[in-house]
Amino acid sequence: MISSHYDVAVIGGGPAGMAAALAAREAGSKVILIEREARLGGVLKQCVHDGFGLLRFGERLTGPEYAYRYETLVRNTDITVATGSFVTRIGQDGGAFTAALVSRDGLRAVTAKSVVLATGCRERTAKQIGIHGTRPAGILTAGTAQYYVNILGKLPGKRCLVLGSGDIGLIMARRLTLEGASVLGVYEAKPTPGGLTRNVAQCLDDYDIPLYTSSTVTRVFGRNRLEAVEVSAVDAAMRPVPGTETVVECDCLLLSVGLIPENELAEKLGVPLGAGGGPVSDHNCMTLADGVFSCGNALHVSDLADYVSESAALAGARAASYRPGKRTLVFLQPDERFQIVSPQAIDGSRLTDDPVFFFRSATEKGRTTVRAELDGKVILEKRYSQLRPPEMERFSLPAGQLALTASSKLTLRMEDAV
Amino acid sequence: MTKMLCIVCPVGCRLTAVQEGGAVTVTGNLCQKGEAFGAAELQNPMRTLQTTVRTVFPDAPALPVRSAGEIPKGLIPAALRELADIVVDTRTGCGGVILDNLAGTGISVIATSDILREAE
Repeated sequence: MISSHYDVAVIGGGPAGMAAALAAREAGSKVILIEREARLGGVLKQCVHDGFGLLRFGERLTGPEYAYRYETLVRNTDITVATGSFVTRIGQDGGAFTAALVSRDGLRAVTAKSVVLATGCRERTAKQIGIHGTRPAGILTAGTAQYYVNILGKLPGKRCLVLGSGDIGLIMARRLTLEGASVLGVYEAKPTPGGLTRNVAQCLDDYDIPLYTSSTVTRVFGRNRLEAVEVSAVDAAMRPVPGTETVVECDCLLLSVGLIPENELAEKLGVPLGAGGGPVSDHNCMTLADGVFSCGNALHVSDLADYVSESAALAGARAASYRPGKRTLVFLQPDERFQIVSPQAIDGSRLTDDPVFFFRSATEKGRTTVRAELDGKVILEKRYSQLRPPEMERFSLPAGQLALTASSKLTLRMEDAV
Repeated sequence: MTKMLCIVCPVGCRLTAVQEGGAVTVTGNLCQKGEAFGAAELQNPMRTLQTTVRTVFPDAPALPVRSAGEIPKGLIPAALRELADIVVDTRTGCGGVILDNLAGTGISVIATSDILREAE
């Protein structure tokens, strides 16, 4: 078997993988970027709507344009781009990582000193949310519908209903409307929408698509093709309320009910995963397995590609400068008002720049102060005018004040501000 | 007084726009783009249209496109009808012009993906 050697192997050629590969190359590494699809870009290829790149490029770009910019940067380097290549096996052999790649050219092996996992995320499917009834055609995830419409140029249905108000569901409600389908409504079991507020405004309000919160789909009907769904109001515990059932005729049900970090390869490498589904990582995006880095939606699901690129560039740079050695890991201890904080730890022995963290609040909040304390001393106070679980926020801690030892205690609190 | 959400960037400022005579006063915005958005939204809402058009190429049957600038929101249905008739038969690259003067606005429509050149 042919074997080639690299400093850094980046797995996944979406916005995270491309940014990581570029940063690793800029840091002087020999880099391979591995993508299983025929083209780079990941999900951005089908995200034809705009809103990408405002932070990264200062411009409002569509997904394919954002991907194209990055791809052009990648192609202008000597990064080895292996598209159409699937990693079937990955492991560690005497310090170096080895991966087996399958492509049209056959099987080959790649070795690298460090690995960046940029494998993205997957959508939660119908099987994972348990809807009663038959299993007709016409029930698909919002992302699959997006692939049908934007890549294949096919309309998946004419009378559509969206369950879940995640961003892709909102985007697809507008997209299907633009393509001539009627979108009867977006149903959200929670009392508040799951996507960005601006997407509720520009995707639903602009096209008079109704949003029904605290309601869900409780049954589907149809033998071969979906014919109707039953929707019900739900109580505070998200249980359907008997007597509120209504039947809505439709031929297509889109699901936008959550994204889960994809970490099959991480698990093969023995990387422990955190509560959010991504690898437990330190501020350099290094997982608890030395030399294995994680970034983008594989690390934590982001709502902006720009944030994905930012964290991935850090992962790529750190993978390039990676040398084996002991870490001094101090884990952040967030209070229960945080839904997720990522990464979870700071490595006191590899601290150069101010470490950046992303978080979501557990509930909707007005003016809030986030306070970080190291061994009882306040090292950060940052105010937010509002916090919503669908909207990821960021903060950084001052590296100069982070004199960490193995016994340091770093707490994070959220307090209502006036 | 009209309350609206600014869609210019991910911050999503909650704006209040008030029209007095010909002038519009916008509050709640964190930047100047929000002020411009609030004023336009009250008088003549503008949107960038992003969609796909058909192609003759089986390897890439849909080409992502957008209006090169904003067009009046009310013209979106007319713009979509125009774009429904388009079938791209040249391997246009990202940024290439697909249509001049969308729905009489003077704004062109450009390809946002390089898929036709890549698939070649």
